[in-house]
Amino acid sequence: MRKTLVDVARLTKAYGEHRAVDRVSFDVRTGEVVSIVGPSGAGKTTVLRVVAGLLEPTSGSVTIDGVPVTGPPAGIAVVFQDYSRSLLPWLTVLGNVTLPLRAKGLSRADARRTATEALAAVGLGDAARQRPRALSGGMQQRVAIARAIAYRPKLLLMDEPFASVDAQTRMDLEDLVHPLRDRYDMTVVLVTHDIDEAVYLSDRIVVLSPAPATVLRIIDVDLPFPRSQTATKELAAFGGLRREVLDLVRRPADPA
Amino acid sequence: MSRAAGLLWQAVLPAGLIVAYELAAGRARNPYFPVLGDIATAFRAAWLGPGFTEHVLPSIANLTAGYLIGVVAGVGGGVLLGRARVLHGLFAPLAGFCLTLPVVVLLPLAVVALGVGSAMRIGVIVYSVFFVVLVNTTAGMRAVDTSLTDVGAAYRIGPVRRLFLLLLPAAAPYIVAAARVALSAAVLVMVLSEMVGAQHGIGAVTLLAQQDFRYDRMWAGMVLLALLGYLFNAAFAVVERFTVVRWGMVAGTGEGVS
Repeated sequence: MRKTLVDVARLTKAYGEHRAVDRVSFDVRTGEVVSIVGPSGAGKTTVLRVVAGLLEPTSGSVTIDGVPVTGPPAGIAVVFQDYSRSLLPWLTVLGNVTLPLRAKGLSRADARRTATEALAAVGLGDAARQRPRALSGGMQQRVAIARAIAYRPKLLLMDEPFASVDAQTRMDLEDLVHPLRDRYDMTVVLVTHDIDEAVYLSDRIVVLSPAPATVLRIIDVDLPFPRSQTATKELAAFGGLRREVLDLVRRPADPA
Repeated sequence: MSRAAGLLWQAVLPAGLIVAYELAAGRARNPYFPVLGDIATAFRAAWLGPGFTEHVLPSIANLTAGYLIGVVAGVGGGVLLGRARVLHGLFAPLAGFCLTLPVVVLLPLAVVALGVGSAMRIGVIVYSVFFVVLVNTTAGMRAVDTSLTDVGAAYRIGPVRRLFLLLLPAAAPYIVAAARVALSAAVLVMVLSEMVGAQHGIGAVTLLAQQDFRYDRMWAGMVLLALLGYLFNAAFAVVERFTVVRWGMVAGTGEGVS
């Protein structure tokens, strides 16, 4: 059994009177892709932001490699949902990818080499000198992914990363996840509201209830690797898992 | 419309007004409204030659010093007020008060405190620039998208990089717009400050000309100030084009230079 990397224990987050997340517990093992799904407004992003150290929990805890998260920990990278707002329009594509690397202490030459390699890995080898606004949405999100993997994180957090691109681009971007995870030895936590995407990409799925979010079920996804947009999605097991998650999200089990 | 045709079209109204003035002035022979030839002669006499070093340069020097000090201090203060809630609560009401307080009413106080030399003139220019830039930089810093501050936090980007590569460029549309408005204010206050106890400077010469019934020279002063204002505005259009417009953060105004 692989070792636990992320341990979320009885995580609760309240905004004033409103309780968004209620005693959510799950773990993520090294090398896994774990999706967090749930109806919109369920607090999925809140959970991810607490794991990223961007938000303090009201109670409960998150540990990464046994170390409690109190602020953004070293060794994690985040891909945000809104690429158009999370890329810096005044920097070139290369500048966007090198900024965190320079902040991490890499020399200019090392940062540039690492960034160039990461851009090539997401299929953007030629766009380094462009500004993000000159690129399509899908390409901008590739820049955001390149920025994350160039950082060489052990844990990659993705917040609905493919929600605002068209269907074809979405499939292309989804198919980057496993190769990049293997190549860069990462663990991935992915927030999504797309159930097909969760089943297709995950080793396990954490299904949350509507707010206040509780864990309805944690589902093992035993689909074979490598996964393919056509073959995997035609498997009977894919359909079964899809239905299982969908039933949970649409008609949450009665907590009583 | 082509670029050249567009420029030509923009010139139609100013050119028409100038021609109309010349015709009217030539016909009226009113000493308050000298013809263009007289204004041009007075312009050369007053501002080119020895007048340039004696009057134009000191004015520009005060303007530059006051403006730069005001902008740098305003941006610096705005960063602090925009990012530190405690400071914002303490200083924002005062800044808002000072912003609306016309610098004219402070002129006597400035004379008492700083005398009638360059220090006073630079001081009042700083005042007129500082609060405009301060208040807008503060607003710009507070309006930085949380997506960007999240990126800064998640990737543990240090304070210096975070300020210069993330926060300030994000607030740039506010800062550039304020700096542009502040420049007009600074020119105005420069002239105003030279109308108190000064022998040198564009404002002093212009006011003196009016008191000496030298209306050609007074008009030459107005023309010079208008030209300066136009040049500064054009310079700002260029600054905007290579920063916030290029980054796609605001649409180009095309004012001055298009």
